[in-house]
Amino acid sequence: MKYTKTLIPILIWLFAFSDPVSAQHPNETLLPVKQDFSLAMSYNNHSWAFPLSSVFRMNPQYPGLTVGTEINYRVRPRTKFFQTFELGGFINSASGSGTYFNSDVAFRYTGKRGILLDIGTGFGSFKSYFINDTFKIQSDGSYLKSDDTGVTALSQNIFFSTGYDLSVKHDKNLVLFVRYQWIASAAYWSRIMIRPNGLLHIGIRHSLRTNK
Amino acid sequence: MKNRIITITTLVLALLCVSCNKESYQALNQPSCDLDFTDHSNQQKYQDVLDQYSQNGIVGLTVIIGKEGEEEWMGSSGYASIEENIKMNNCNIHQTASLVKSFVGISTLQLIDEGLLELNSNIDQYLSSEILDLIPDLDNLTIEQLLNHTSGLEDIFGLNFIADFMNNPEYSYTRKELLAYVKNAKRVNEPGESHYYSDTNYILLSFVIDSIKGDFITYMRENIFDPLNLSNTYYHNDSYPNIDGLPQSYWEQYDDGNIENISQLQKRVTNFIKGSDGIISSPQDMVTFYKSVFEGSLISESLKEGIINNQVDEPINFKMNTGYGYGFMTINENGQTWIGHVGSQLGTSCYVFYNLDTKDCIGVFTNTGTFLFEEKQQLIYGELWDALTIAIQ
Repeated sequence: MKYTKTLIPILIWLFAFSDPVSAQHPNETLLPVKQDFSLAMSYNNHSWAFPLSSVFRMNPQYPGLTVGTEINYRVRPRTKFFQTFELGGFINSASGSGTYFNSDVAFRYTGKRGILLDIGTGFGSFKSYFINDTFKIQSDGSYLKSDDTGVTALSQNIFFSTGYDLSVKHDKNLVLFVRYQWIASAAYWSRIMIRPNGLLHIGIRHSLRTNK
Repeated sequence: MKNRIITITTLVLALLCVSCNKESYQALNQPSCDLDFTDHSNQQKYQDVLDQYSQNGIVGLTVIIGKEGEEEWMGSSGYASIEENIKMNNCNIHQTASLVKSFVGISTLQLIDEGLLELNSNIDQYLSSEILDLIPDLDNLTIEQLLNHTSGLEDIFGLNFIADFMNNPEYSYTRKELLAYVKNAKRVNEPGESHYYSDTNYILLSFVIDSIKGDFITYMRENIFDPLNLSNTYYHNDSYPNIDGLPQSYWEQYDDGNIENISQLQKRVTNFIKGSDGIISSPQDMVTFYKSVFEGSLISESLKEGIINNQVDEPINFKMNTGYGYGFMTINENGQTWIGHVGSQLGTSCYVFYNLDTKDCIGVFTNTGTFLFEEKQQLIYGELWDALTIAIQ
């Protein structure tokens, strides 16, 4: 039951992702898709929040870092269909720190002036850490301090980004972006069922090779 | 470019260190205790129940059993502070969460006995324009609807509040700020239609008592605490909420056996929820109160009967709240009626119930949270209750 809520979106995601080649234009199917070999890094502020709430909450800050890369499936002059792989974490002394690995299917539109918009969804693995020291009861009724190795669970993600691609107008291989991401981890309090995480990222992306 | 990336990375790593510290707890000043009931004829039978549950998910607990025709028994098991290796004892005091609703209920009924209030009085005449502006349509609600949770007002402790609290747990809310969480909330049901348990009702009642008597806390102290000599009961007085003998508070977030100390978080909640939460008291004082309501003279006989006879059905059928009347929950089982209240919070849980048929009384006080955890609710309000009621037969 705990994982049922996650399983259905995963299946939907897999279905959408199942045959990206045949989704391309007939004339493009045999052409190899150029890869950017990009590396993105962002600073983020974590909130305990449901989608689109507490997006711009700045105080107190619960900071984190995310690094990621992308694999292209279809690239056109203004649009791109791709998959992200990202690894990140945040430190939150109030509701518990977390680390995550996500993979999202995403779509990007880049305007003539270099303004870009991303939207994506996917799933991943989210590890929650405890707020304080933890203890486990022993067979004699005493308690022993336990290591905080975190609690790992499946997670669902959605994200929206906007950014500025400096390669379009300034011939610099750098993208500046702001991203809102929501991650729901499947393991949490029984009353709420999911651990809701809102992350506001500000970051940069650099590509080793551009698709021009 | 390389230098910029190094600079940005350094700044980010510096920011990451801001929130690294885990929250500390205040050391427990454990009182010495001479409340010894080990020579009670049922000591072993009762103690076995407590020990079983302190081994199976309740960190520490104290239980009072008052059985008609038998001397009162009191026992404890488990830990008051795991970190300091301090066992729970009979002199520990406890955060009693929603038990205060019974106190506010009795205070309201005392004002009715004084002729200063009526059950069917509209509440708007007792509330400031600020509160009336905050929550629309309060003018069609009555005192009785607040007392019975039949106003249809949404609970302040919904997801919006939980999100704000989890993001900034050090913030201390005023009662008006708490009420603001239901500012735009739709009514759950029409006034008087059905029971919906909501702390909003009792925070509003505290404002009603304020408007008549100046300060509901002082009124409660002068009309309940003092007459019953509840000398180990604290409510925004002395060094509240940092009272000697208050155990650490724990929760088990993931139902995986990992117990966390959340005492600081729990004390903050206890401190800012006035009217619907927050009394810190000894188990004996709490049992004295509930027995006195039905055996003493805190309120008139007609209002006592009102508590018993004007119970509204609890539609969710929560085991310990099959009915609700004027700040008191009822449990109807095996042809008997128990009346009292439960308290449920992040790091504390308790209940006191008085049997109207046999005059038996059971009080349970734990330092283990149930508010967000259905497994612990089942353990403490379901299984432990069943075990205790079987034990006293």
